Amino acid sequence: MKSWTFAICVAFGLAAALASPFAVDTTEYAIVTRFGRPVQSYTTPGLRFRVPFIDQVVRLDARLLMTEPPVSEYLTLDKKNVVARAFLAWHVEDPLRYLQTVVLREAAEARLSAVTGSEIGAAFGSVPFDALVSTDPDKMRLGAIVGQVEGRVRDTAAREYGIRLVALRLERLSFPQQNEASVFQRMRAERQRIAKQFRSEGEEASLKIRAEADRERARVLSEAERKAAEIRGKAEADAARIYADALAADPDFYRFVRTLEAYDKIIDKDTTVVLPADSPLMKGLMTGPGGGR
Amino acid sequence: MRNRAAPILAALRRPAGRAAVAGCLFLVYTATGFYTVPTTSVAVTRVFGAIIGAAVPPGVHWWWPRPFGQVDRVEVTRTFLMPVGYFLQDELRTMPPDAAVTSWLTGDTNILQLRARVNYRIADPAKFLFSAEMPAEILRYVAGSAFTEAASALPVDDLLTSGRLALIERVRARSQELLDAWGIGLQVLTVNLESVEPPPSVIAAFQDVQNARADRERQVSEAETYANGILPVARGEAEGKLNQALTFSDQRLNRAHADAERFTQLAAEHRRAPSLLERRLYLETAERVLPRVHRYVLGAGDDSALPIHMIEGEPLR
Repeated sequence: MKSWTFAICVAFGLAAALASPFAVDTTEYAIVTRFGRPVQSYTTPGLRFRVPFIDQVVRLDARLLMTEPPVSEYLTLDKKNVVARAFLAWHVEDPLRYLQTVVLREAAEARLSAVTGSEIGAAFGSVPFDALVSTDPDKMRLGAIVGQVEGRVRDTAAREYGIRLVALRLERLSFPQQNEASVFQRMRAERQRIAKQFRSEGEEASLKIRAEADRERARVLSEAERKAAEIRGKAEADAARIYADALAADPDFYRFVRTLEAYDKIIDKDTTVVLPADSPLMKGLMTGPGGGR
Repeated sequence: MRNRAAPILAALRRPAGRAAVAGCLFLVYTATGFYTVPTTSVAVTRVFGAIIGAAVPPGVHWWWPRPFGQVDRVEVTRTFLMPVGYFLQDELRTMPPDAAVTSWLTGDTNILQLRARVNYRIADPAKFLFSAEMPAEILRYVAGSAFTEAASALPVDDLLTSGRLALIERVRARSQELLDAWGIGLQVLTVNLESVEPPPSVIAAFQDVQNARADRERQVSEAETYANGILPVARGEAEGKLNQALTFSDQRLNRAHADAERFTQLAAEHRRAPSLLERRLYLETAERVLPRVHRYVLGAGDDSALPIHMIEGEPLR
């Protein structure tokens, strides 16, 4: 009888000794609850103990968790639709508060998503589309806008749910499906304009190069003609001077010689010459020796 | 069965036997604590959930077996890849393909389809294992958001051509910065841009811009060919004109000199015997001229009846 009691005591003690210790992993937080009331939370890993059979251990994921809120459409200040796909990286910072407010991860994600959606809506609704998507650095404020949303969601998450928001970022920005056709239309028109510009530029350059070449050719040729005319003119002048120098010695004789040469040239076979019998040429024939001298 | 178990039960009845059996069990249990780490990996060891060995090198080691200790091996030399803008084949089985996955908005509100691959490795095994739920998925989100940040500030033409290198460098640096800040334990090695192209329904228009650019080059080169064709010809022609003029000049001057020389000599002759030379020149000319013409001679002093006294001569052939 006594040995039975002893055996039960030993068994109970052994069970208590095995039920008391528990390990808290590096990836988790542990909260010890007694009759549902949290009494202790452990945020660092290692071996911990609890009151056997009375205390319960609730474990929470301590790692960085990713949440992608549902992709939604937002309206900017200038009434343009934008689809934003955001993501949140967060972890539990205050296990007790987290446990009291959301309990389950699904609930936490749903609330974070809701807050994110409304904050993005508010932020996008107060800026023009240019501030989100623009090649102009002065207008572009996407980083600042997302940073502002991140800050507000971070405050809410920490205050309400014991969650530390590590990051909120935009994974993607796009147009709604129904706007895509008109965007493509615009892209096509833009490309056509650029293509046309390239082609006209080509034509312009081509015409310019051809015109310059034609002008250069005309310049080269006319310059050559001018030089040629100069050379010819100088030659004529020089020749005239040479003649003048030579002929000045005996102008009368030159007139005589030149006249003879002219006869030679201007009288051809169709010419009829009437010679008087007493001309110096015929006189010798008509009058005999001595008569014509 | 009973016969075989009998010696063990007999041994258990004696204290020494009990100790021996307990010792054997303890030895077997401790032997399960030996583990190997392959050369491509390192191991992380934990006791009661707390990290003790953050990077156990390759080789054979011993660590507390379960339930006290845990060992995780991580491949640290391997390069992993994470697709951005598309999904790997085995991911597609669980995820429906979505057109929105590949499309990015550019700074000039064009839409581009972009596919990239992020190559990464595990730089900090303990952080990789324990600090985040899905480290690789975080990398995908981070890279995607880095592309979004960069693309929404750049014009489409930059993204298609000159801006690509800058884009991937920016994505790499930005992704690494965020991974480090969040303590994910991953290192981005390279970001490869596999393709950047306009959506299929506008690709023809983009192609036409390429063609137009080529047309422009072609027109310019054709015009240059034309210019190169006519200018040397013109220069040659100009040279020809000059040479003609020079030839004329030479001829003209030489003739002038020759004529002048001839006349000078004739004039010298003339000074010696003027009338003799004049007569000779006159007769020589008459000799040359008269044989080729119709000739009529009129009788001396008679100027009334022309035909009667006429001596007619036909031109000599």
